[in-house]
Amino acid sequence: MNQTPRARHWRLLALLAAILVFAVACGDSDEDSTDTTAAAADTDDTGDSGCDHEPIVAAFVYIGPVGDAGWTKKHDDGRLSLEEALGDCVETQYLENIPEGADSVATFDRLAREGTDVIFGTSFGYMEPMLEVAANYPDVKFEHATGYKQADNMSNYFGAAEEARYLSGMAAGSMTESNTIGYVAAFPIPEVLRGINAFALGAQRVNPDVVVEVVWTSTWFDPVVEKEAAESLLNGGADVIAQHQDTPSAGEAAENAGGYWVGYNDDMSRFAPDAWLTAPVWDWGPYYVAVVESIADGSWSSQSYYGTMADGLVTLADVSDKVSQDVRDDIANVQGEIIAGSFTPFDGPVNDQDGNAKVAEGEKPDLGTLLGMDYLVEGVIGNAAG
Amino acid sequence: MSFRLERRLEVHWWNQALTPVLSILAALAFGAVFLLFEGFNPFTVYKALFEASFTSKFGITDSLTVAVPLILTGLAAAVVFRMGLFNIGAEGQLYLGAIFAAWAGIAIADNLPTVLGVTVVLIAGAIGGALWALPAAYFKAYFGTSEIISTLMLTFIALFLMRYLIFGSHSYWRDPESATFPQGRKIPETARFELWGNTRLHWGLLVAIAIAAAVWVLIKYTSIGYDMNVVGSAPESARYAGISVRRTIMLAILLSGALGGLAGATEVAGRSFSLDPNGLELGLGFTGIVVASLARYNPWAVILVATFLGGLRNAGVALQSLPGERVPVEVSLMLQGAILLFAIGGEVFARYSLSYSRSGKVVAA
Amino acid sequence: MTDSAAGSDIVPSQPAAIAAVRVTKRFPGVLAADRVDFHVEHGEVHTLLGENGAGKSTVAAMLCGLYQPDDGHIELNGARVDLRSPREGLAHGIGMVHQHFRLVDRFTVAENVILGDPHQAHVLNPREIESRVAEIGDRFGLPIDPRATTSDLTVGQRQRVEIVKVLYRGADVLLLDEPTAVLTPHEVDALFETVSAITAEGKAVVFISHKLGEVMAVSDRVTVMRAGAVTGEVATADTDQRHLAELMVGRPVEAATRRGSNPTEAALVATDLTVVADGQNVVDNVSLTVKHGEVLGIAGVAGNGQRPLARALAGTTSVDSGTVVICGSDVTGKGPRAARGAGLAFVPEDRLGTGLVPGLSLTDNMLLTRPRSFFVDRKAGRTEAEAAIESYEIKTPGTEVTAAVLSGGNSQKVLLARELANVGEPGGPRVVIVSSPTRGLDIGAAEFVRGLLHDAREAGAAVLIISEDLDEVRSLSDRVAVLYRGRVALEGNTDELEIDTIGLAMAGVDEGEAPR
Repeated sequence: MNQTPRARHWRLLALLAAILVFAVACGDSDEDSTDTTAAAADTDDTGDSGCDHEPIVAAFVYIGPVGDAGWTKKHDDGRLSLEEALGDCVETQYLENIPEGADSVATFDRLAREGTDVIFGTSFGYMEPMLEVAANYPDVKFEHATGYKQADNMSNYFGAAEEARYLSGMAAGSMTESNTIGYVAAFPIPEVLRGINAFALGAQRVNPDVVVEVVWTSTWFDPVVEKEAAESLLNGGADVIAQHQDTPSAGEAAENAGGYWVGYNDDMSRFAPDAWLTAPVWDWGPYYVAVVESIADGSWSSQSYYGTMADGLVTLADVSDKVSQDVRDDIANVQGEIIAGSFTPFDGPVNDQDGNAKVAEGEKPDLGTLLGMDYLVEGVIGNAAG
Repeated sequence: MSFRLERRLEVHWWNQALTPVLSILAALAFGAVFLLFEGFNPFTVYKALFEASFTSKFGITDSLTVAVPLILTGLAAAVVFRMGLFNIGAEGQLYLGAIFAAWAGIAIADNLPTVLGVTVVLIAGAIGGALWALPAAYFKAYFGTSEIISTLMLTFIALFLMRYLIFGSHSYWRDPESATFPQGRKIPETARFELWGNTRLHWGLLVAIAIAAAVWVLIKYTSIGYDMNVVGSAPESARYAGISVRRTIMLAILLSGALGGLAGATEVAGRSFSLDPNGLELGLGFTGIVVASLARYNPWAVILVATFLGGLRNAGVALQSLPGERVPVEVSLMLQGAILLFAIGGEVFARYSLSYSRSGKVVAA
Repeated sequence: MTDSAAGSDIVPSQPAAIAAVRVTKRFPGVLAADRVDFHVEHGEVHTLLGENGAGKSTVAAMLCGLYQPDDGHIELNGARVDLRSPREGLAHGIGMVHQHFRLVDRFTVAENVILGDPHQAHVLNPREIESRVAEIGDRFGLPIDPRATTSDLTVGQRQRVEIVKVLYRGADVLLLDEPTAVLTPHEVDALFETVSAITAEGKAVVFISHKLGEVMAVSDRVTVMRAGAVTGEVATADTDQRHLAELMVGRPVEAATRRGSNPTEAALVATDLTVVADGQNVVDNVSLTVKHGEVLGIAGVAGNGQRPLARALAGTTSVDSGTVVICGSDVTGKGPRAARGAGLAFVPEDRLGTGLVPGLSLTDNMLLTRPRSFFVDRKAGRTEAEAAIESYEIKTPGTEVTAAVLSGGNSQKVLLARELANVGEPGGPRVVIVSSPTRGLDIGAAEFVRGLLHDAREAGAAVLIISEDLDEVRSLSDRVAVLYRGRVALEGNTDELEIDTIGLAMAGVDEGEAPR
């Protein structure tokens, strides 16, 4: 039988296997559909029993994975605390790893037409896509983090991270021996420039000789790039690393090099315990609860929300005891002043890199000025244009 | 017992059609095992995947929207791969097409009627893609430099060029009013494809299908296609017949580049309406290679495969919001990867047949 | 188990040196060898004769262990052996000399001889090896310098190395696969002397060939195969070429005869043509003229500039100096389209891959050298292909199959049909260049092709035939030119040139100088 083309056997076998797969698939799919209906019925039952109104359906769209240990994780923590606070009055779902730009339009479209009440989009690049989709779905509420555009059914929300940045800068400034602090930053946009400036001003408050060196990564979320950027700064003489990135990978670089590290978004001390100093931390939960409650009681309206340390949207992680008690006390005092409103990080005088006065002695810049910040302050090495 | 691959003497059409289908079924079977292992019901997942991508109205329009650039990058790969020329730089050609298209949209299309405006944008995109393929084509045709390496390198340059134009500089393409975050400047309405109803699908689909038809006619019925066939199949025959091998290679790679550039232009005119690096860096050019090889370089099959892969892309999002059984993004990515891998592996079985032979000979007493 | 040689005409005093006993070998769709009996006595030269595809190579491959028979078996000195590889065959004293040499160019002769020898000691004694190689050379008339680098050797010398190689390993049975294909007439003579020396020692030689003259000259017995089966076994003393040809083809064969010619004015004129490749003049100052109604044959051993000459004349390679004029138009350096426009038809030596595109249909292949407009006129191609299939009796499932599926003879017919269409007629070709027109074709097909070339000449075309088969050149041509190292070493009317004179010119020996 050697001469029989064996190919034919193989083909036949493959065909049989395919038919088998199909047969099983068809046979099973009926059972499946009954299963899903049953499951759906279950959810409806519990939904009716625990809340006096139809549950608000809230969807969260994330740029990174919820496991990023930073930006996206904190938003998802917020989502979980929303579920905990409102129980059966809210149903949440999240979509992770959704690229920004035009490609995300399909995702927002899908959520809007599938009966979602409110969609939270937590990356700047979702602004235009959300605006575009919001125009087609007036009954759906859109909540966009970090942006500046608004519509009748679209709010934006963000917070004064610079307040906590200033405090974290104080910790960093007290720890540097080379008087050079590296700053791994994503894009040269006002949000980031504001953070770098506040951080530098805080560091200079405790150490007038300190310089802050900036590297732009052109990405919010890329653990490899973030780490490489931190390594290049450490090689360049920095002994403390700060960051405006979504992941803790810059901290790993600092840990390996024996330097110190100021994280961002969350208490990331477990990733680099020896390097860890502190971090500005977000707490989005209370805002998410407030938004969903206002939708439930009909009081929701489009707004531009800018939360502060006083509101609890921004906090500072516990400062490591590697920082001296004196500095820690000092940080606590300044934090008190910020919460009380008697001090803001950009109280004048503030000069830009070229020594031009941007905020005069004794002045406090208004929020609009802060949101359009397009310069770096004295003592920062880097290009504000990227 | 040992297995051996033997080259098939003839590849029948039904074999060509059956193999991708079997490959996809095999991938689904493989994925099912993986899903079971992860605790999911594969049938629920596949059902959701299929519904989200193909059977619901918005599912199919979303899939077709992604299919538009994939048809074009698939054609870009098909026209050269069938000649044994491996332009793997459709990704970069797409970026350059988008850069040219966005420029044309902003600079020229404003005062034109829509049909003309869109046409200008598309032509500019094709020119951009072709220009970006030009160095690779020239060095391949005249110096035999590997087009695989040159087109790949050019892709990286194109990527950084596009990012620089938006993120790194205040270029013509950047929206001067995007004070807080760099964004592309929007092209005027007259440079945009009209959308179909309240879907995201745009007229670029018809353009892509028309171009697939044109490519089919070109390959099948014209002297250019004939010359490309001869050069791809037997360059010595081309020399013998007086067909310029260099010119044909140049032409083929430039055509491929133009198709890649067109993909960028349709994205600008139909989806992002600006030079939008975030919305363009989706690997559409690289996926085109998969589209072309699954389609066996047949332009009509490219349309089908592009739609299938477009649906697969959309399905990833849909699976994340599967009621009751949330499939994490990693699993859906793995599933997509498995389908592609099996699909390409199937190529081997279309061209070769598997046989086994017993080693160790029976000696009669 | 020792009676397996029974049934042979000669009753041997001892068992056959090697025998195939009712061996059968099948490949998908082909019965390559069908119950073949073949046995070779000690001290005998036994030829396996057959056309391409008759099964002689398959039988040889089973004899040396490359293939294993599906049925039947191989016997060595009357005892059954199961050879699983050529290496095992060699261990049993069966050595194959392949048509394509398997030598490492950078090695010396001695190094190539011991290459891959399993019995070779790991520590080599070069002097001992070299002296053994020299000794074998002396004994069998294979003069060769063991220390010479292989890349410096001529084709004939390389073949000697291959033969020394199997003798060095102690082979008692030598299989020579088409050994004369690459040799000059003198080298062929030398080879035949070697073969006699080998058989004189009681060794057996299997000679595989399709050239009847050589078969008659060298063999003691001939086994003829056709379509996988043995069609006859005869002693050469009892037969002649015509009978052997009939056994090969299965019907009586007419010998082609040359008719008188009436050459008119010059149609193809090459003047001082030189082509340089890799720093060498592969075509060196060649001047040729072919007149309408005349056939010029170019003879020569392969690799003496035939290929670049043909390509230079046809415009597919660039010319470094000199001119080519076709029917009055200077087409030098203007490319193949200009040459064709001037009236040239060119049948290159490589059919598939040059003359025909393997991946294209017959229809498309008919259009390869035709002028084309923007849209390809497949209708015209199909009509032409259909006409060719009918008038040339091309065996094909249809016009839309790829050229790759056709046999050598049928693809040559397609190629000739395209190139010779309308030959001699207005608008048709008036100069025909044909390289190796019948190589690899069976006798019937070769006859047909020769007839076509005659017809082309009769129609008034100037025909240039380039072939390594001297018999063919002589039988077809009115005049013969011999190429040696890119130069025309000899030119004259076929009837006025002795075969020895041509042979010497092919070997690069000036007339008057004695051959080595």
